[in-house]
Order: sequence, then structure tokens, then C-alpha cells
Amino acid sequence: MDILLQKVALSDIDVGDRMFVVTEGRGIEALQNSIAACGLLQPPCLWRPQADAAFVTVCGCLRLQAALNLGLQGICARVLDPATPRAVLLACALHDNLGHRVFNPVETAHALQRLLACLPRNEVIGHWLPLFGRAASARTLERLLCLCTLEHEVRAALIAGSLTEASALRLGAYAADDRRAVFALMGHLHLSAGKQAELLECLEDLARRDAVALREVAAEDDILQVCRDERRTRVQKTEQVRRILRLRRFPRLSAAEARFDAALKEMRMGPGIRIMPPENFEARVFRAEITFSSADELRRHAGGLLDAARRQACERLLAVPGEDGAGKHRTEPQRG
Amino acid sequence: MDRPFRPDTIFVEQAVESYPLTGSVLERCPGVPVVMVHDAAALVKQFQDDPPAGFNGKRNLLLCRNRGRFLEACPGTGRAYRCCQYLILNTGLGCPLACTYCVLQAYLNNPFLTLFVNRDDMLRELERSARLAPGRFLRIGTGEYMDSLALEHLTGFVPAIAGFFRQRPHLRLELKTKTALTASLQEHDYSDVFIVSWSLNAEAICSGEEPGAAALPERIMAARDLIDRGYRVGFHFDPLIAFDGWQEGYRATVELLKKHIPPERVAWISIGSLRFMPRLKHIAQTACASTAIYTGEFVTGLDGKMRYLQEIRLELYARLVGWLREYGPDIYLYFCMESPYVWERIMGAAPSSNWELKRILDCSISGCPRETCAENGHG
Ligand code: SF4
Repeated sequence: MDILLQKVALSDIDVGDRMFVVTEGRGIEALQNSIAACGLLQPPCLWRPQADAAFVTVCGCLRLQAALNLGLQGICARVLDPATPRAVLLACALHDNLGHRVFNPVETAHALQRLLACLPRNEVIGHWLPLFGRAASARTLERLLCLCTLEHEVRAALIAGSLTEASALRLGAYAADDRRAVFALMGHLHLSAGKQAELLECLEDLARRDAVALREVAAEDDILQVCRDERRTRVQKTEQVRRILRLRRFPRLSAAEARFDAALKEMRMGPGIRIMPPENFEARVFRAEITFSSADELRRHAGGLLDAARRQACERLLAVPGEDGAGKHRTEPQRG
Repeated sequence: MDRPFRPDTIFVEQAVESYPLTGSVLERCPGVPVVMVHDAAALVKQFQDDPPAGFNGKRNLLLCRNRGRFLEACPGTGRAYRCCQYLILNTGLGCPLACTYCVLQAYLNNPFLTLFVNRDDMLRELERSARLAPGRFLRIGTGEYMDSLALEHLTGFVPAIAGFFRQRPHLRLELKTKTALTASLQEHDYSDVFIVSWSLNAEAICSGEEPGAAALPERIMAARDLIDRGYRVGFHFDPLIAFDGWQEGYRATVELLKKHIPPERVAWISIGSLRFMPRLKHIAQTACASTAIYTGEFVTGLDGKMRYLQEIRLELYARLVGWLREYGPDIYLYFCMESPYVWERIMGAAPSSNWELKRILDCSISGCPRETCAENGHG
């Protein structure tokens, strides 16, 4: 492969041709400052399909854009032989970046899509996926390619890091209308990676359980109302939407928690005493915690705890729905 | 299964080409393409990492040696839930019935339906284990990693192994199935050797979530047929699923039992509710987009598995146990993987330990009186 170092007028470069450009969503400001201060230290790489055609960018699209922004007329560039196969040009573009940075998922997906256009699938899976730090499997390839089909704003959120790759892949599996509705809901909320996963799982479960479309679950009146409420911060909206969805998804668990809280309130225990339910109401082991800093305080709290334990509400705190007075479940045959 | 399973392709590990079971499986599958492979483990790894497009492991049979143990303790989890100390006999891995709740989807990393053809090694290991526990009653089952009868027409397992078990009456083999493929049990009387048990569910679950299994009435009629031939049978209401209409559904199944199965021929009925490793949900929903069984109110149990909220389980059990007691007051009912608390609430008392539960079940099968069996060496 012949590479010539030559001076090229910026007007001879078709910067709109992004056939080999693999960079997406990266800022240009720092690079521009560096070029303004020291000039273009690394020459971009160009290719010309024919002698009279405009140059096409192979490597260095950001450098070229920065040079244009700075009003430079010409630059020094490496120019590749017109006979260079497209697969080689694409490989040059990718290696120029792979050596020193990690590709974001959208860049990876687009790069794979282009590689597939000029290389056998096996080579893309076996050789290229590991270069992107991905598992060499057909499943990985398919999953990543699905990111290419996402709407621009979803891809932008993924590049910006406000949407995780796992969430984007999940959204990618939805019908377009569902995806738009769910993504719109996410836009109102402040969601960590864990909360994104929780929200999507909850919406999916509700849609599946109630046999309705995801967009219907995401656009229930009470949820829309919270999202539109200008007085709430994004964090407050997030917590409220999570509460609404959890109540809908886990009505019995939520009711058990509410019963517990109500009984606890009726037990009227002062500060310094805490009673905690079994985790998920599974183990039937409750915990009481007393916080004190003197023997006197301990005696007072212990007395308070004993008083509370004698109240009727304590029975309710410990009860399991469906039990008879003797704490047994009724097993006599009942007509369904 | 409407029709007995016939694989699309049979992969044979070269080293087992001359094994008798390999020969008989191939003979019983005329016209099925056969692919010889040098190394079964490498083949499994290859298909696991990168399955070819459209590959369905449940339709592809792999014949190979079991290089590990054939006999293992049931992986009953932790101390928080009672387990009956069952022993599992691994005759193969994977199952063609494709139930949407099947734990094997998340448990096995071998995508093939696999049969272990080194049966002599299996018998030797069984013999060794039996000798290590002289006089002790051992309940063994084959239905854990595969339906016990789904491949019987290819393997001839029942007649091949009956003699071994007949000579060792303290070993009792349970064949657990959702099929009506009982021909080999009908041909000869093995009622002193095997207990055959059926997993039952509500009709809606059988038809919606157990696509490869026999219809519910077929299972019950198959059980009835074996009872008429002198067998005792068992039933497993597991996994109970709290779907819309579960009460009518399970009640109707008990009614079917009442109509067709004399309770005195039932050795036991086990009961358990849907529980699963968290990762199964995604795997199962990907495999079957229409299933909604994972959208119930599941919480993380004390063993890390997802289970219905306890109050929902109590409700399911209370109803079912009530109906079953009405059907057969003397049938031994037990829970599979439930907490002592749930046992006490529903059954009135909990076995004091896993060994106690094992002892009671051993007695139900051997016919020895529960009160004295501890001295007789059970448990
Ligand atoms: S019959 Fe049992 S082993 Fe077979 S798929 Fe169903 S649950 Fe799994």
C-alpha cells in the first residue's frame, strides 16, 4: 500500500463524504485549541478514488473539521493509493482509532455494519469483534447491529452516556411506537444504570402481565401527570414514577408493606426504637433495634418496646393474611 | 407428547460408536442424519459459544459418555427450605418437552439433548453407592435433568435397568414424567421396581406452558392404566402457578384425579410453587415470547431463588391441600422446597429435618410403619 505525504488544499477534500469516518459523538474543542497552538502535528489520511475526484477522509475527520473551523487553507496529509481496496481503507480508519481509545457502542455498531459490507461475516465475528473488546460470537454481532436501527435521539443518549448499552439494546427490541413512548418517559427521569434496568423490567412485566402494549403502560395518566408536574425535580419525578409502577407491579407486597407500616404506627413507639420486617416477608424473622446512650435511656426504650409488644397492633404487625386466629391457614375445601 | 420424539440429527461421539445403547438408539431412528464427532465436549463448546442460525438444541441428540458422576444428591437449596434428600440418576441432559418454566434452560450449558450411553459405568456406580449404604433405603429418580420417559422409546431404559433394581429392593427408582409414553411399563410388570409419577398442573398451564408434554387427561389416563396393572403412582403438583383462574384450574385437576385415580394407589403427592434462579426469567421469556408466568409477584427467597411472596404461596397451598385432603385423606402430601413455617401453617407440622422428611417418604414407598422405621434402618 503506497502512502504519500503531500500538501492538500482543504477545498479539495469532500468532508461531507463520511464513508470511512468511524468517529461519532466526540467533542472537537480541545483538538481545535491544540491545532491553533501547535499546528496539525498528525497528518490526516486521505484517499482519492480517481485522479480528478475530491479527497475522501480515511483518518482524521476531527482534525480536518478543526482545521476548517480555524480557517486553514491547506494541510499536510497522507494520501493513499487510489487502488487501495475499500476494506483496507476501512481497516486503516478503524486501527487509527482502536490503538488509543475505546469505541462507544454506536461507533462499534456502525463500524461493524460497514465491515460486513466488505468482509465475510466470520471474519467480522472472529477478527474484528475482539478488537472492539467484544466477545467473538454471532449473538454479540446481532445485538450490536440492532443499535444501528435506533432513532437518532436514542443513539445520542447512548453516546452521551445517559442511556446504558443494556437499556439501548432492550429498547431496540421494542416496536418503534413503544420505544418512543418509553424513551420519552425516561427523558423526564433521572435514572442510574440500575434504575434504568428496573424501570424497563417493570414496564415490560406489566405489559406482558396485563397483555397491553408497552406504550400504554408508559403513558398511564398518573405517570404522565407526574412527568408534566413542573414543580417536581427530575429526582422527585423518578421516585414518584417508581412508586406508582412498583405498586402496580407488586400489589400484594406493597399492601403487606403498608399493613406493616400502619401497624407500626399504631404501636406508637418513640424515637430510638425501630422494628424491621423480614426481608420480602419471607423468613418470618422480625428485628427490633434500640438506640441508646445511657442505661436510663435503654430502660426507657426497653419499657416502650414492651408496651408496644402488648398492644393489639403488634398482632397485626406479625399476622399473615389468610390466617385464622390460631395462626393456621384454612385448608378445608373451598369452592374456587 | 403427541408423537414420540424423533431427533432432527444425531451427533455421535466417536468413542461411543460401538456401545450397545448407541447402536439401539441409531437403529430406532432410521433415516435420521448421523454426524460423527471426535470430541463431544468441543462440539458442545462450539455450539454453546456460537450456535448456528436456527439451531434448536432440543431437536438434536448427542450420544456420548458421561465422564462425571451418574448419581448425585438433589440440589435442594440451603437450610431454609426442606428437601426430601432424593438422589438423582443422570441418564442424560436436556429435555424435549420444552416447558417454559424449566430450570434446565438456565442450569445447563449444554445446548444438545444429550444421552449418556455408558450404561455399564452407570450400573457400576449405582452398585458402589448401594454398597456404601448397606440396608439403607435410597429413593432415586431420573426425572431431574430430563423427563424420565420422553426418550424411553429410543433408550429402552426401563427393561434394561429393571433387573438391577429388582435385585436391590432397598433402591427404589422413581420415573417422573409428563408424557403418556408408558409402553415399556405396560409390556412387563415392573410394579415392584419402579414408582411412576406424573407432574400435574392446571389445564391452562399444561396446554400453555408445557408445549411438548401430554395433555392433562392423557397423563391421568396413563397413570390409571398403570394402576390397573398393579403399579403405585405418585403425583407432583409442581410448579403451582398463580395465574388468573388458578383456583378453578387446580380444583378441576383434583376433580380429574378423584374421578380416575383411586387414592389408595397413590404413594405420595408433592407440592411446590414456581421458583427459579433470577436469570431464568430472561432466558425463558426469550425462548417463549408469549409466556407471562414470570410476571407474578416474585421476591428473592432465602436461597437466592425467586419465589412467590409467601402469602401468595400460602394461599395456593391452603386451597390445593384442602382439595387433596378431601380427595385422599391418607395420601402423604409433602412440600418440595418449602420452609418449616409454611409446613406448619398448612400441614400443621413440619418435618424436624430433611432426614425426617426423607424417612417419611421412604416409609410411604416401602410400606414400613413410620413409627418404627428409624430402627429398621431407614433414613
Ligand atoms: S418435563 Fe421437566 S425436564 Fe422436561 S422440559 Fe419440562 S420441566 Fe424441564
